[in-house]
Amino acid sequence: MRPVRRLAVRISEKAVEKASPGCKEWAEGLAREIEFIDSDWRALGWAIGSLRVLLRNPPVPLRNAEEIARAGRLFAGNREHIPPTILLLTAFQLFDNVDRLVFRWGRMDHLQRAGFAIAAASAAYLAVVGWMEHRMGKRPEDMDDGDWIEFYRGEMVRRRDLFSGLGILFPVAIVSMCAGELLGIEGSTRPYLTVCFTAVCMVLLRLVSWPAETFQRKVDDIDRILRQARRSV
Amino acid sequence: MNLKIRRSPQTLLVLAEFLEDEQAWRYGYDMSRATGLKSGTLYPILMRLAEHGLLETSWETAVEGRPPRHMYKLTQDGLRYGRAQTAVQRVAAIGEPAFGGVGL
Repeated sequence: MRPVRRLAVRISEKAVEKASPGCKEWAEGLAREIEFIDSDWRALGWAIGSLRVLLRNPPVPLRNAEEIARAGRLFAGNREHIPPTILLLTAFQLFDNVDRLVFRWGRMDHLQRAGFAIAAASAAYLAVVGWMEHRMGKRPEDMDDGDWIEFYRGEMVRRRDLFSGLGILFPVAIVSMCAGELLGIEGSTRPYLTVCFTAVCMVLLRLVSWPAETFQRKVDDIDRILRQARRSV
Repeated sequence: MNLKIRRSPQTLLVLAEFLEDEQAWRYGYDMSRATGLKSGTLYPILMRLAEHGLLETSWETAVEGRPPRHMYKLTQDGLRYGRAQTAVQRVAAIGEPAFGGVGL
């Protein structure tokens, strides 16, 4: 094997190794194609392009009951080993903004006070929702797929309910926290900057899937797969 | 169908290529050659389509001496979405004034 092709193969193997669980299959698919590319340089270009897959972190695909159970195990594993990122980040923001309001109150103008107050209130809200989102029900003790499916569906339903109830303003709160921070900086252009930033974010919010929709889609997928499985039995 | 997929020219190109032969399973590299898209552009589009249930994926049955390849095909929803999007594109193209709207 020539050095250029060897490098292409090495890169694509690395992409497979580093890909997130939801991307693994895609990274493997990309890597397999290398064998079918005649030109070594084109193979190298293909392999370099495959690194872009690493930037994506899609949910693990759900196509059958085993995959739902696998997703449940992965979900439980992640919750146990990954710290509550949202809670930690927003708690820090809350602390920082309250600190500014308390100790620099006299040195701030009205806009800055309003900005930091909005940022603090948004951070407090995000911290509460982040904490509730990170909590997990009791994970199944045994290895039965059925228990894991039930567990995973339950967790998705709980998150959907959280983000369509108390957490419905979660994306808006992220925007308002950033807008508050922006309003808190010094300078005469900040009100305009804040208005422009908020307007752009509000437009962008219409384009992205809101958390409740994402979790609802997952619940629908699980129900569809379970229905199909029941029908085939 | 109200889907939050960015209708980029590249996505339309991929959909149109799948619609060339609706029932055929397609390989990534073949799709890349047919559409002229690089792997770093093509695969995120395929992944997005799959995430929305518009694309199904499968592994080719292994043949001796050849690794199995990952294959792609539009689902029924994908075919409906693809036809609708390419039709919208055709209508838009017809509606565009010739010579960029410059009166002759």
